Amino acid sequence: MRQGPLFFLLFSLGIQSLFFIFIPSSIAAFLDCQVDLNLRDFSGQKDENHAFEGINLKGLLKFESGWKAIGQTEFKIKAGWEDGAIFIYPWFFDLKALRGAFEAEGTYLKDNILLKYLKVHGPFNLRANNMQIFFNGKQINGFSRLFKGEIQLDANLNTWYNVFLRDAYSNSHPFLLDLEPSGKINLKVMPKRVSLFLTSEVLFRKRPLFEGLIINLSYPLGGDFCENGNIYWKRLDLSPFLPKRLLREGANIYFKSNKVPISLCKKYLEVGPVVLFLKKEKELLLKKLRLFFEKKGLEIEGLHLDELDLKDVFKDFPVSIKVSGNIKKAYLKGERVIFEGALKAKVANGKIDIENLWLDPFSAIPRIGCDILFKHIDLSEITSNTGFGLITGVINGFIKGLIISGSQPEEFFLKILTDETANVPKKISIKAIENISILGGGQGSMSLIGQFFKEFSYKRIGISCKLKNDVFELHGLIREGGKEYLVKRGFWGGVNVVNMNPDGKISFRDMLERLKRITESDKSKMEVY
Amino acid sequence: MKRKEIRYLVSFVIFFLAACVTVNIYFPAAQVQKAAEDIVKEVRGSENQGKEKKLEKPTSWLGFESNVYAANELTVSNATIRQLKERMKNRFPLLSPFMSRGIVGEGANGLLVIKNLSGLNLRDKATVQRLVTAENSDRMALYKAVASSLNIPLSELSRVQAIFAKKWQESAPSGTYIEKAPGNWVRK
Repeated sequence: MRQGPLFFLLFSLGIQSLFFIFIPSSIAAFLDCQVDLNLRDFSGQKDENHAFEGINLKGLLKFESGWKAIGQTEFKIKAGWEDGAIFIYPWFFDLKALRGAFEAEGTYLKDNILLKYLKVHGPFNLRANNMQIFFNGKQINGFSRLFKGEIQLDANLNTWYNVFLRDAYSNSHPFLLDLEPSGKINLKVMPKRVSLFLTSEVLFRKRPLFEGLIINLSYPLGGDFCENGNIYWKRLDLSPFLPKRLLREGANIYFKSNKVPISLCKKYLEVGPVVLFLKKEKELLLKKLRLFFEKKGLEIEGLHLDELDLKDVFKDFPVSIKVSGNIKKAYLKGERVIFEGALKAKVANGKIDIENLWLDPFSAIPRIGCDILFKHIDLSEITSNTGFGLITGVINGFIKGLIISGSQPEEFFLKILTDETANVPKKISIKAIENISILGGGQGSMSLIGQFFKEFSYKRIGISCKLKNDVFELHGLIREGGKEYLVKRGFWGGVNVVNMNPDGKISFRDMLERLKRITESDKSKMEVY
Repeated sequence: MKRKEIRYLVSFVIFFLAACVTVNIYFPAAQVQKAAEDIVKEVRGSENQGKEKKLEKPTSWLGFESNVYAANELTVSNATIRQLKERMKNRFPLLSPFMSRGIVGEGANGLLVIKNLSGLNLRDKATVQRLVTAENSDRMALYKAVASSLNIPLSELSRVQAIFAKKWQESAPSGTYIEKAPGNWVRK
């Protein structure tokens, strides 16, 4: 017994489980009939992730076989839905809000259907013309389709963004609630390609993010070739994502071109090149980014950053840091993106290397990690323009295993040591001593001493700081006479800053509190000679 | 003489093999217990929360530092755990009514289980499914983060989950189905 066209039409609308009407083709061949459809409150469930409820469908179904060739039945169907709901995890379709109607006309043949047209009006407008669909006749789920005609779909972007993304995924990705796209989607399915044309305005937290956004994409259906497309926008305001109050006036981060090429291939999507201006004429270039469909894969080719002075970008940045970088390649290993290459920075007559960069983009909270090495950093350059207090001298050091989770530091091991080869005066101001001791939890007073001395000399600075499990462990690296010195004086006098906290442990919350106190006048535990 | 040498050799081999087989039986149950207690309390709140918060407040200039350090040593936290806790805390008021109605239960493996969706309309069923999936995904990430911060291998993750399960169950609203042992459900 062959399943009839009615069943197929319902199936093609994704509601095949609603009801079953079997019309054997041998009977249909001699049959002219008209059926009034009035299905009320249809409910059913395959499992807890696939169900429908309270569906009302009203319409008219017409068959005309006459005495034509056996097995050839012409049909016409017109129906509308106005109530009910469908749930196919994680998508919930409220058919009351998404009410609509469809009509179709075609011929049911032995092993295929010739669809003259199919029209859907409502939450989306669909029009399919001259479509031939083959099926194997045994199992409706097993049929293979071959579109000879064209399907065209127009939809309201906001409605489908809410259904497919916001409502479905905002429990696990709350940022989806912040986005509000409006506009239109136009999808065309042709025998050899699917093409998408999207025009939109996107709000982020009620403020315009994209204005005049156009996405033009095609996907190849037959053959292993790529289709070129692009993303274009009139205006893109990235400021909601930038620390605006920290940005220098006039400094902006923007794309060099408001058109980004995208290539869709059978197995992957390719974006690039993308050039981001971090300041006029300073480029961050991404040559190519590839996302693979079959197995979770990501590949970046050529990430280059022109030398950029962060002082020119960030407001009140105390020191000039000229950052540049060259990442030859990035690839996905397990769930982690590994970057091959390094970022470099020139700061305070010294240099910083940022190596072993990685990114966990798929973890519950995205994380980024790296190692930072710094050499010959002139402290006077760094501290002279900060509220921390002046320190002169040169240091070397590193931050190993830095992990930033979300936007917060999760782990690191920092080591700072005086560069004893540098022939520069080593002085430390009262204010800096106070602040170092605040960080260490010191309890002595500097106010009296501060009336007589404004700075002290020192011989060495040696500090290590580890963050793990929300506990900082601060230690002095200079050990003498059973004491642990963060700052050690020279033979002819100066200042010693001693760590009096035996295990050096400070809770994350406590450290934040101490950093807040840095600007205040506080008390320190120290020995002054 | 030869026999003696063989005996020595055999003894050495046995000793060597025994020395090579290291069975690591250490599992920081007390620390996981404490972590579970703290995290669950923070996510779901408790009557004593106000008082505890006061104790956790950063040290004053005049002292009590040692108490704070002692408390911190037992605290399992990091940036990932803090952010996951925050998300779960925001989600709990949405889940709680479904738990007390017996729709969502607390499993013995530290994950939520949908017990019975009957009586709910399709919209609520969809909401429950999405909430439970999101919560379980965050819980698994949390258990892995806790295990990692305590240097517990992933092979022992089920023990971490079981300890957390008890705490989630204790703090679950009344009416919630609790899986005391695998397959043994009771209503709170």
